[in-house]
Amino acid sequence: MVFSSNCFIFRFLLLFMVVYLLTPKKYRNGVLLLGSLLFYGIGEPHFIWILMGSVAINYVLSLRIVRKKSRVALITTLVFDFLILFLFKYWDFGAENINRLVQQEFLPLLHLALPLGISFYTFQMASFQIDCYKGKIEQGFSFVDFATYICMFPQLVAGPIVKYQEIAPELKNRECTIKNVEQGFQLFTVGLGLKVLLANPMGTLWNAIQTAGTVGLSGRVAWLGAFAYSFQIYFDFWGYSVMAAGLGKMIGFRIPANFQNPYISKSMSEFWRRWHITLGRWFKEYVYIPLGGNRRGNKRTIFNLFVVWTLTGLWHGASWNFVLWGFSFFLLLAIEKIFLGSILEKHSLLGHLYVILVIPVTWVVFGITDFKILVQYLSSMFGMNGSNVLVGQEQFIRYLGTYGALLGFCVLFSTPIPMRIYKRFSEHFFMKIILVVVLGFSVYEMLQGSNNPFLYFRF
Amino acid sequence: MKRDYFKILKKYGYLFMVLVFFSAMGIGGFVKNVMAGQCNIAYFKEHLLEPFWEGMFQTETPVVSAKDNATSGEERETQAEKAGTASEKEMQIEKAGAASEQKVKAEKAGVSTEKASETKRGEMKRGEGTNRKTGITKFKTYTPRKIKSPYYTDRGKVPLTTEYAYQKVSDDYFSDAAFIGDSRTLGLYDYSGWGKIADFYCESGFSLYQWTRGATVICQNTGQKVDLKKRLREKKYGKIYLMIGMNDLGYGNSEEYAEWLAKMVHMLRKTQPQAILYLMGNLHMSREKNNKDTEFNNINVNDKNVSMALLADGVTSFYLDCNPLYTDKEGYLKANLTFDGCHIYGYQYDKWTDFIKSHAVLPDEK
Repeated sequence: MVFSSNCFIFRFLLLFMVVYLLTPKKYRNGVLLLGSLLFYGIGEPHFIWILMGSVAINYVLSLRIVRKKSRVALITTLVFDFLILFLFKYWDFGAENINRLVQQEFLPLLHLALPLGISFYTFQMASFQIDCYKGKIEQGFSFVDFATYICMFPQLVAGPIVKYQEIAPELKNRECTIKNVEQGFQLFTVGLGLKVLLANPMGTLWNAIQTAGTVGLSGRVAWLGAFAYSFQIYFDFWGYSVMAAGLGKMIGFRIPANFQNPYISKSMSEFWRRWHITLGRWFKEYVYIPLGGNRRGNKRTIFNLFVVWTLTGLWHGASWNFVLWGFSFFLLLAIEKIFLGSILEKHSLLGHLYVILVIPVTWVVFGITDFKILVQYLSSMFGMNGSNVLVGQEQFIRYLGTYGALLGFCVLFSTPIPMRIYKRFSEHFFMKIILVVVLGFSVYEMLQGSNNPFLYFRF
Repeated sequence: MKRDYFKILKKYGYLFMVLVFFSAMGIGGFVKNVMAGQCNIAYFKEHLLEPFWEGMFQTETPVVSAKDNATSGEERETQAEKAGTASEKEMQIEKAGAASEQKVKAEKAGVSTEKASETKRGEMKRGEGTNRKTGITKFKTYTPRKIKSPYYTDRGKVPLTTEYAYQKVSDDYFSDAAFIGDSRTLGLYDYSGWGKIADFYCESGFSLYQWTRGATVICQNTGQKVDLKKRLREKKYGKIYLMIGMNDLGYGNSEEYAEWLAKMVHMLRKTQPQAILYLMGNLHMSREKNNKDTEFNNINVNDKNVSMALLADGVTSFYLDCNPLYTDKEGYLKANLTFDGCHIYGYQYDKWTDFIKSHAVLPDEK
């Protein structure tokens, strides 16, 4: 089930909240767990067993890890979790490439569908197990505690990647008041608006430009498409994360923020401290630092960055363009570490321009899976497409006419201003009225069927 | 006391307003459905997962919503089949070399349509009042499957371009042409080069469902929304190209679509009796986009195309099918020609414009 659907809001959420608030405190985790499994099961009736099986096996092994600090148990559980992830997500990618290398059908392609949210909950389970081993999580968690932590519906299918310690106190004892529901649902509405009213139309523009094709694509339309996609992916994912935070608040949990105005960054390093914060934090804590971080000399630091960014790219998708995308960030970050970072720090305008112009290019690499088309698109962006212009000034003017105002809003919402205003006035009556209007428009748009699924849903 | 209420409203105002607003919508939608006589068990079963007020955004004529179950679907299918067999005659394509005998009859739907034209075995008959030979629209038949959808039926036949002695023309031919359609026609506007010569009444999402409910359409040449009927009363064209139906896949059923299409064609005939009407078949979807479990598949597209082709009389209206230019042996749009599975890339339009230019009907010489 998708958050941005009328079915979720006016059926599941409504019924769930009524049952949840009426449930006595000590059974609330159980109700949340069952509700979340129902939420997942409605969308994924086949893969719910994989989720439940993984949760059960991880729980059993986690007891051994936390009590005996068993290295064997830790390795077993990590191998098990990542093997399942590898099988569903990366087997075909690996098999295709090996077959291509040996020039024969050596390994079979399985064509398995990806269980929803597997990339997120696998990382969450891994972080739990590693923290148990390190002693950061103490004994005393029940199966329901653990299962609720992994499965709770606000963050099950597309993050944020929550750490157990962040919500452990709330698992034991949390506030469930109508005021929380009010504030949480307000926040949910903000996220819904970002997704439905900003991300979806930008997605329509990006699709329209891709549909026209790359042959004869003019530079200005190519750049317009790159910006449209940059806005789509940002508001889609940020909107989702805000909805998750709002839902978390409604049920009494404080879900961590995942985005902090990444497009106002002055460097790529800063960008990745503001974009998908919980993923960056996971890779830093469980890959970068264990490899030595930046404490083992420059060469080792560069190597560690290379590993982290290749894995980050791969995490986003089983395709070479994602690896290329991750590798591009490795290069950009390595360059910043070596010399560019200090320059950008001193000249903030240069830094802003640098991020504003380079990030859309990286998103194009991320967004186009077919290499031939990707090369053509990038060539168009840099004025090297060669063929006669088919998609030129006339289409550019038309797109600006249709989407100009929206693009303006996207630029505005990329700055911290709107959220600051919201936080300042969230309790005021006029803000609530604005949110009712936002909810009304969003619901109307969803009814019209303009429902692009979350981009990060294929993870 | 007043202060307390205001404080409470301030504290819980958002939830309160949302509850009031959507409850009002819910009650409104419920009442509307009761008045339309739609509140029975089947209706509730169908709409279990939807809020009651979803119907508020649909119009007066009860149109089947997106979540109909199989039972109502089968009922509608039999109705459509009955309507279909009552108004169609069997079409067969015989072996190469043998003459074909057929009858073409326009769909009747309470709207008067063009007269039926008959051809004798092997003979081309001349149309009334013209010296043009009559074109023949043939169909390729196959064994149809039973479809469990309320939106379409499997017609058991695929329409082919009307056979006729077409001429090849240059771009000048389109100086008195009008193109009516959806985003594919918009693509023609963008990539054919005829945007400066002909008039294009098209926009993304344009559907017969909308048009029959009074929707306007954008004249791309001016960027203004126009009332198509009004515009066609004012301006006369020598030829009109119509391609519509892709955005109707999820509205109505076979019968209703045929009615709407007949309405549109009747309007075109009435306002533009002098024009040659080119009825263009909708483009098929790619294998990836095709989904036999939903209404988005080529059987549905073909259902629309058959209705379109049946309106071609071969004298003043002709059916043109561009699918053979872009589809594989099984009728799927080739994957390398499309991004989204139902639109061709801009640079692929030249094949289509060449096809249109080589399938022109020239006016009579008097």
